[in-house]
Amino acid sequence: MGQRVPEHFEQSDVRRAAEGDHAAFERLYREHVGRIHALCTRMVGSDVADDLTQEVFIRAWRKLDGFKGQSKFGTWLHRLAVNHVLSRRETIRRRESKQAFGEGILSRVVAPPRRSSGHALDLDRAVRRLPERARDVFVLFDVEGYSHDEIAEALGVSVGTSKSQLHRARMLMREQLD
Amino acid sequence: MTYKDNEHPEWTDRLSDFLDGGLDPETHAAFEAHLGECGSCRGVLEGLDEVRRRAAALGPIEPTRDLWAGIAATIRAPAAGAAEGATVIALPTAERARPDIGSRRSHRVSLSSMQLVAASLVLVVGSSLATLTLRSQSPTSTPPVAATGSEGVIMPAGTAAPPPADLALELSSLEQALAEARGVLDPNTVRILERNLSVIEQAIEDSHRALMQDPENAFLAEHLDRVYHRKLEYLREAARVVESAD
Ligand SMILES: [Zn+2]
Repeated sequence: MGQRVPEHFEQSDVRRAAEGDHAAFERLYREHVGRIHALCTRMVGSDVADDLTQEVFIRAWRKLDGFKGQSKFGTWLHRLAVNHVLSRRETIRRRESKQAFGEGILSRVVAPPRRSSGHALDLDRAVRRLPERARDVFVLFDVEGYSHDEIAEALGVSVGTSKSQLHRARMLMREQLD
Repeated sequence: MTYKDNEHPEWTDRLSDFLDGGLDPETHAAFEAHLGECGSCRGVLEGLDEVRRRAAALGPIEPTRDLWAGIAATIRAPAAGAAEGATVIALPTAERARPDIGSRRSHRVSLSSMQLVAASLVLVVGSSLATLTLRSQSPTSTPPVAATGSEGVIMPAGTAAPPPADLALELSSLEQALAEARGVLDPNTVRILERNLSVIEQAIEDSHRALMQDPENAFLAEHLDRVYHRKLEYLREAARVVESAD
């Protein structure tokens, strides 16, 4: 791959994983899964977050060759996750509207109690109730720390729209948390 | 849109910009002056700031089950995922093959990659479905017991719960039918089946384990029974989908 050997331990795992080392990739997975799963949960919902998280890591594995190390692996992975979530959401919506094959059964089988502090749980519930566009911007800006420029590009909207949706989201969140 | 106690929308509408430092210095100063004398706007600002601070403090959410086994199964069997342009059987949950997934292949997976999928299934699901695929010569139905000799990542050997007697026969014959159909199934479909079944198997496993710890608990016993019924429903539905795709 012609990459310089980095000092950072994680970067050496990235390099090993790109060469096909499953154990190195598993270490990367363990390190980052919580953040990726959180993104999926907040943007699309807990019922599909597991699937999406798996897809993100499978996709990352297949694209590792293209990761040149200009950014941190976590940053690269997270961006990949944002794009994946946005592009998959349409399919998921179609699937949900069809009352998908087995999904009802699955959701009745699996009712995982979320372990989380009450405070964070309330906030996450409020996030889930936001309108989709406002939620996207809120999660990406206030939770994940992306800039309006980056968000506007990812969502295909103007910077002004990103700003106004953020404000709308915060106002709605404020009402819900009162 | 109307907000509670939002007396000065011309100010409050830009309070997020103010908070995020997005105003030019002159406007920023004007905001500070207004906020100094307007309790209503100050209240809104404090609320927004609290939302912002709490959002920034939100942490990771760990999945409640281990997702690695499913990922490992897929990345260890690259051929199974590399089916761009495949004839996707119309399971509503089937995701369309994406353009960057891999090279073009015929719409039927080769035997060896099917065996890989099956092998990874033993790893992920530990279900008799995989066992049956590997022992497809044996027509006798086998109750769904975790495959012995599997790596037991998810299902440690000896913890598998036998299904209720009244369901065992139908479960195993449906599993066998699906195992036989597997050879002509699109890899995506296999993956979805595999994933969904692994969720169900995990639920069976979890409730069985809970029952072992508390064998007198009627609620847990009933729950386990219910999960087995769900599995049956799921397999019936899968079998219908597979049949209609023939
Ligand atoms: Zn005011």
